[in-house]
Amino acid sequence: MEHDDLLPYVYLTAQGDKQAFAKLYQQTSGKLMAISITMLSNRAHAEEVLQEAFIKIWHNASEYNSSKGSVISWMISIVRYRCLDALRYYKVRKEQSMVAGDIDERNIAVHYDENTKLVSCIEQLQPQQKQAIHLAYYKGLSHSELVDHIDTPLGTVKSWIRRGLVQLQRCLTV
Amino acid sequence: MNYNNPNLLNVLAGQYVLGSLKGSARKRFQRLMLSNQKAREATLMWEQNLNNLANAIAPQAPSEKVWLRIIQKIEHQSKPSKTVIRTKPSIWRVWSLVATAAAIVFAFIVMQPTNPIKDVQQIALVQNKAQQSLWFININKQVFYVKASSELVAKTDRDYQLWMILKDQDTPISLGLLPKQGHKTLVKNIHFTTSDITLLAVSLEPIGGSPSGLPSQVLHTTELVVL
Repeated sequence: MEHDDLLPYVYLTAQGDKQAFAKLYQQTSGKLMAISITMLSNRAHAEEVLQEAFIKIWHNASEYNSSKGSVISWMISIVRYRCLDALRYYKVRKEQSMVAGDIDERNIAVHYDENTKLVSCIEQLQPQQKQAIHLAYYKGLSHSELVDHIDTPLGTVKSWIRRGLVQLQRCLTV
Repeated sequence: MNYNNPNLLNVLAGQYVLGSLKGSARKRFQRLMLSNQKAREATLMWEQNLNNLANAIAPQAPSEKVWLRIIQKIEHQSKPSKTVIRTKPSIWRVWSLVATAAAIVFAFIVMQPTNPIKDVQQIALVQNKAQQSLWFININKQVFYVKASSELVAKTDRDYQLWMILKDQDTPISLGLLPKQGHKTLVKNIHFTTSDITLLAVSLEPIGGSPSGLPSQVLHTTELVVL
């Protein structure tokens, strides 16, 4: 999905064009739903977040500009930050489906089809760094939740993330 | 923490985007983004890069009712109803909110706006580091009613601009220039509800407001208090 493909739909959505908004939904809802359900592990909650995110996109389309990056990245960020809020909310309510102990990284169906620079850089990380970054990105786990999940001291987990990010950035900017 | 260190800023931004940064650390970084252009740029850089990880997940179609609900909401409601995400407040946070609310109520009684607006839902008080009240902000469904305090010593060659940070968003949104004396009504965009606002900020700007569309120098931040 290229940046330029979605730009006209966002522009028209900002003008109140519901057909363009429907096209935007058709083109992106599958990907955004996948992110939501991967993070929340609960279809009903994932659909609720997706619904809220698209209502936000409808109202905020006029605020999108290219300085916010590609359209799809802007939309993914809206969905992911909503998911992070939802995770925090449901964990406070101790809903079982949101408990980190249920998570198995093998259930995160990560298949890199594209040979992008990010994929190449991710593949260069140490396995523990890659696992910690995957669990944080796909499951929204905090440092302390990663400690419980990977059964590793907090300092080590923080170090994996920190060094992984530094190495990623170095690789991406080369 | 030295936020001028670009390496530290990049790691914090990366952790913010990943989601591993939580709680007060996450809030501190959100506040930092209000005033620090490099923090915003680093966050955007990580969003652009890390969001490519989403390409590795196979798309999943949502059920048809999702789209129906979206259309129903945007057609029949001028303002979307949102799920308010609330976490358990700590005792210090509760105490802080109670103290702030008491200060605001006191300010409200003392300042007595000349055109009080009925149906008040939320209020905020902008104070300086010496706890002097500078602006009292009264928010209802349509407008922000702002009154400058007599304690405000405003610069004549600069303007003061009010910004809000919405839930899930990193970029501050301008609400308009603040009065240097007396009161002023700022019209609220109907497309968001006040429950979406996580923070208000006041920046110092050249006359006429921010030239970049983002805060030049953040002077004060405050949270809304629900009455």
